[in-house]
Order: sequence, then structure tokens, then C-alpha cells
Amino acid sequence: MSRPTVRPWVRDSAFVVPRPSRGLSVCLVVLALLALLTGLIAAAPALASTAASPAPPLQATPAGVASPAGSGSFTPAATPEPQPSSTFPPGSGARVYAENCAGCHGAKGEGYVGPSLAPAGFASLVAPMVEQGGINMPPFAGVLGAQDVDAVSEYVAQELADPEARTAEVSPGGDLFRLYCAGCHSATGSGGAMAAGRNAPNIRQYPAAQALAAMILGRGNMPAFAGNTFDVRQQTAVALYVQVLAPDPPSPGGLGLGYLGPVTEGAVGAVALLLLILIGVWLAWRSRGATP
Amino acid sequence: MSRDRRQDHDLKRGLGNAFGVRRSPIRPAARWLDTNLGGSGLLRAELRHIFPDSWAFFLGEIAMFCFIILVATGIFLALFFQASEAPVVYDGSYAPLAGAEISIAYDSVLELSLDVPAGLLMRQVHHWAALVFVGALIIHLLRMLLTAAYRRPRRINYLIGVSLVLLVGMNGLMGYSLPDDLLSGTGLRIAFSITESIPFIGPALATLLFGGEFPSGGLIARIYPVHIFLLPAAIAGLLGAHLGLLWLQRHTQFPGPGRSDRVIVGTPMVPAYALRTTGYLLMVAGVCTAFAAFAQINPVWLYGPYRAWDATTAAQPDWYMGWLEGAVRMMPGWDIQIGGLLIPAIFWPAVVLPGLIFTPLFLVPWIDWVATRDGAFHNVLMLPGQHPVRSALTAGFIAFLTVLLVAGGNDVFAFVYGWSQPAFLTVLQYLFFLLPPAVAVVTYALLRVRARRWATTVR
Repeated sequence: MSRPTVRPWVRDSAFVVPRPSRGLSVCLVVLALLALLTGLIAAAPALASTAASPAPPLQATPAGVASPAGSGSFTPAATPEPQPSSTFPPGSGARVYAENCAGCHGAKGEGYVGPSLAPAGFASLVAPMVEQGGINMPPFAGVLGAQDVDAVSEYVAQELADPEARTAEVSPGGDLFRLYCAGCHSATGSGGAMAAGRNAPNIRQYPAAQALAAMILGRGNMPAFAGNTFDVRQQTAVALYVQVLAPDPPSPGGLGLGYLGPVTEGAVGAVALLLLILIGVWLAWRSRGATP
Repeated sequence: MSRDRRQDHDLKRGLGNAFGVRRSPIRPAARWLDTNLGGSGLLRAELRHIFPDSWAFFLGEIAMFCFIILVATGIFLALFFQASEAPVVYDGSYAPLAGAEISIAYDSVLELSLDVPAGLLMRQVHHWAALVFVGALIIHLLRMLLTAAYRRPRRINYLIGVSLVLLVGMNGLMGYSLPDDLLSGTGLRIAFSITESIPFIGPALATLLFGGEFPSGGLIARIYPVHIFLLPAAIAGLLGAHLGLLWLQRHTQFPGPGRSDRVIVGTPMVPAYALRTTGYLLMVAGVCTAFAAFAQINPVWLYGPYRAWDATTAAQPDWYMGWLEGAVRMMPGWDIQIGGLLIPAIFWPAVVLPGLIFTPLFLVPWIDWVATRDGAFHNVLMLPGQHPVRSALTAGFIAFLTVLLVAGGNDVFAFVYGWSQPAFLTVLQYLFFLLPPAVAVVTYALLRVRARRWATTVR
């Protein structure tokens, strides 16, 4: 009758130089390499996108956003006082403003019948408003030429808008962005895949003016938000928040990894684990034969 | 003088030389302790406890070290985190959220990340270590399956190990849910729906666990003690049992010259193994810290506070929950209505499927026993090539999990590589059924060839 020993493992130990087991090593090294490959493939776009999208210049486009603020800075340089209208040369933004806008919006854009222009920080957002009009504001498309519209928009954005009011709009802009934009473009603006097999693009790769134009006019599957969803103040707020994200969101924590969320983080985590396993392989290799 | 005694003598002399003294004051102190307490015999035996050498045995160590790092950094984070969903107006240093009404929990995480010195580093070490932790656990588990380490006498320890995987994954989910940012809330919303989908008891259970309709406003305060106390205590307890059993039963070893189920070959704990493993702990801590220093993880300030009406693309859980997310994404919207009973489609991938994965996983030692009729004690592992069926099944399981994991990030993959997301999802749905058996069959065929060669050359 054979009864199993209570403790069949033996405390005595023979000291023999261990030999690495090749079968499992090969299997797991192949697994590890596959994991590394997967990690690299998943991480590649993040690295590539960082390399391929240099910071687009904010003012370098024809309809450029006329904000002197660079990305990440929310307090542009102080604006000079507007000049009295009698000294304005014909065709200047100040003159167009004084002749057409000041009656409702006040001489310095402080608001009277119409709303205050303090938060209107983007010429490219003011121009469509001037052309198409607002709730009680008539369209000026037939009254002003294209040059006058551009001039007055520049003037409003540069001279009348108040940087402090603009700063206060960033946070509500973020709320609007997460409510209306993040569902397609992601909270970080990186873009995302849509149900119809189309992609919402990475808004950070475009010059700011182009991104704003898309928000106002709509583009592809994206509806026009101007007038329907956002009033001019909300458009400005969203535009200001987009400036926070573009070209690179605030990332005090280091590399942004493409701002694509937990998927790329998981891939990078796999690389960390692989590194640790390789360190383990090295340790085991170093201590081969160390056994007395 | 026997060989063992001579080595002990050398060791003592070596230590004495290292400290620069001929007569160490430790010796009389130790003698006093021994004559008053006893136990030197036990210590002498246990300090020379043998650990077999292989890099594959370090996987569990990586996990254990990550747990230590997580507890250490977690204590730091707990000094600053406040588990409350009461509203507060943000007035910290991050200008783009200035004046926003947010929860105290989110506010405290922002302060911890952006205003507390080293706070962000600690948070990032905590998060990277968590990602590595679960990864190490899962590869450790796969190593068990590939080498049949779960056989008698280690069945109970295997059960403890699988339970640890479950508990650690759950605690990761809890930690992900705490900051009350947009991703946290989105994840909790899904968890609520999953709980609610269980027939009959679902709605009542969800109300009980979540404190009412979602969002109940008191959820963070419920999750917090679970994350920092209940689950860590359970994990620490099971980890202690896991290591205790490992100590008593000794570690398994790979087959090799001089090794058998009765003779274990390896490195003694003192001094070689203890020094090596301490160094490894420091390296794990170093790698986690280096990643935290250079790579940003979970930038909650960009995701914004959770509001039930907000949504974002690229909303994924941390990777170790990706398989569950993937299963939910692949499931067609087949709600079943039987009389007054509605079984939502999410019930099958999110409740039934995990049960179908973990039940057999827990039963593996007994399934193996039924299949092989091998109930003997084993201290020598099998090589993956020695048992093609077992290895093929494990490979199929890995393929199965991989498909689920990729499906969990299907929108990000489709976006990054410019694929059509619905088409990609359809491909994954086919792969869900086709890839695991294909991988299993190919692995089996390859290993059969190898096993034949192995049989002729080694034995």
C-alpha cells in the first residue's frame, strides 16, 4: 500500500550550475518581441504625430486669428486706447467701426443697444458676424466691402476686445468644447473615428483660423455651429479654448503620447513591462553559475 | 568540516571583513539572543532557503514590487485626495478651468497634480506601476498555464493567484474611477449599466452599490475606502498567503541535470538571492519612476470634470479592462424581451463572458487532472513543448484575449491607421471566433513537430 508522503519536496539541496531552459525562453522571448512590436506599432503614430505636426503659426494665415497671444498664454499684450474717429484715415477699421458699429456697440465696444465686444478676440469670428448679422443686428454684407469687413473685424479683435474678458471666457469655452466638440474630436482635440467610417480630424494639426472656419461654417459631416448653436460670445469662448489645446495641450507630465488616452498609455506600459522582463533576463543571465 | 559549514564560515568571515572588523559585535549579540530566544537552527535552515533560477520566475516578483510601489505612492496620494462630489469653484493654478464648478474630488486631484510639489510625479508613478502590475500578473499567470505549475501541490496557491489577478484588476478600475474626470465618470456609467443589466436583481443591485440612480453624487466616497483599504487589504492578505505557501512548498524549477521532484537546485536566499531581488525591486521602482518622469499618463486636466452630458472619443479604460470594453463593443445590440423581462445586450459580454473566462481559469488544475489523470506531486515544471495540447490551448486563450483587447481600442486603431471603424469592428467580430482556434491549431502542429524531436534528442 503506497501512501503519498506528506512533504515530498526535500529540504536538501544539491548545488549544480543551473542551465537556462531553452524551450520556455524561446517561447517567452518570442512573446516578448511580439509585445514589443505591438507596443511600437501602437506607439508609432503617437511619436509620428508629434514629429509630423510642428506648431502651426497662429498669425500666418490670411484670415488668421489676430490674437497676439501664443498658445498657452491667456493674457495678450495690453491694447492701446482707440483713437478719436476724426483722425482716422478713410477705410481704416476704426473709421468703419465708428461709422457703422459704434451706434449700437458703443464708441469703445463697451456695449449699448448691442452687446459688449470685450470677449470678441478673433477677427475670423467677427467677420462672419458682420457679414451675416446677429439676432437684432442687420447683415452688413451689402453695406461694407470685403476689405472694410476685414478691417473692422481686425479692429474689433485687436483694439476693442478686452484680454481680461477673454481670459474669463476660456473656462466656459472648455465646457462648450467638451459638450459639443469632444464627442467627435476628443477632449484633447486629437480627433476620433466616427460611426460612418469617417474620421473627425485632429484639430490641433490645422492653423487656428482653419479650425475656427470649420466651426463657423461646418465641414463634411460637421454642422455649422455659428448662429445655430453658438452665439458670437460662445464661438469666441470655444476658439479661445481651442487655443489652449493647439498646437500642444498643456502637458506638465512629460510626453503627451499623442493625447490618445489609455490605448497608447497601455502600449507604453507594455514597453515598460518588457524592459523589466529584459532586466530580469539579464539578472538571471548574470547570476548563472553564481550558485556555489 | 562539511561543505555547508565551510560556506557559512566563509560567509561570516566575508561579512566581518566587509565591515572592517575582525571581531564583530554582532556575534555576541546574536549569541545572547539565541541563548535567550533560540531559533538559530531554524534561521540557519531558512536563510539558506533555495530559490530556483530563471528569469521566468521574476514575473511574480515584478508584480509584488509594483504592489509595494503602489502602496508607497498611494499613501502619498491619500494625503491630498478628498473623496467628495460636493461642488466647489476651481481657483487653482490651471487657468483654462478657472472658475469652473467642479467636484471636490476632481479639484483635489488637480491640486495634487498641478500645485503640490512632486504630486504629479507620484500620481504618474502610481498609474504606470498599476499598468505594469497587472501586466506582470497576467504574464505570470500565462507562465503558470504554459508550464503546468498549477499541479499538485500548488492548486490552492494557483487559486490564490487567479483571485489576485481579479482583485488587482478590480482595484485598478476603482482607482481609475476616483479622480471624477470625464473618463472616470464614463467608466462608472458603463459599470452602472452592466450592473443594471443582470436579470431580476440588476436594478436593485445597482441602486445598492451605486447609492441610487447614476450619478448618485455619493459614489466617489463609496469607492475610495474600497480602493485604499478593502481591496488592498485583501490583496495584501492573499499575497502573504501566496508567498507563505510558496515558501513552504518551495518554488518549482525547470527540468535540468540534478533536478527532480525531490531535489531542488537554485540560489540560497542569503546572501545571493536576497541581494539580487532587492536590486530588482530598485530597478522596478526606477523604471516606473523613469516612465513617470518622461511620459504623461491620464492628464485629467485635459479631460475636464465629469458631467453626465459630456462625452469624448478615445474614452477607454486602462488596458487591463480593455478586454471587457472590447467584448461590449463587439456585441451586436441584441436586447431580448421575454414577457416583462428585458435582458439588455450588454449582459452577455459584460457579465456572462467574464464568468465564462474566469470559471474555467479557476478550474484549470482540476480540468488538467481530469484530462491527464496526473494527480501526483510535481516540483519540476513541464516545458511548453512537452505538452502540445496544454500549450496550444493557452496560445488560443492568449489570442482570444488579444482580439478582445484590440476591440477595446478599435476606434483609436481605426483613427490612427485610417481604417473604417465599422469595417474594422466587423473584422474583429470574425476574428473573435476564428483566430483563437486557428492559433491553437497552428501552435499544436508546431509543438508536435518539436515534441517529436525533443523526445528523440533529450530522452
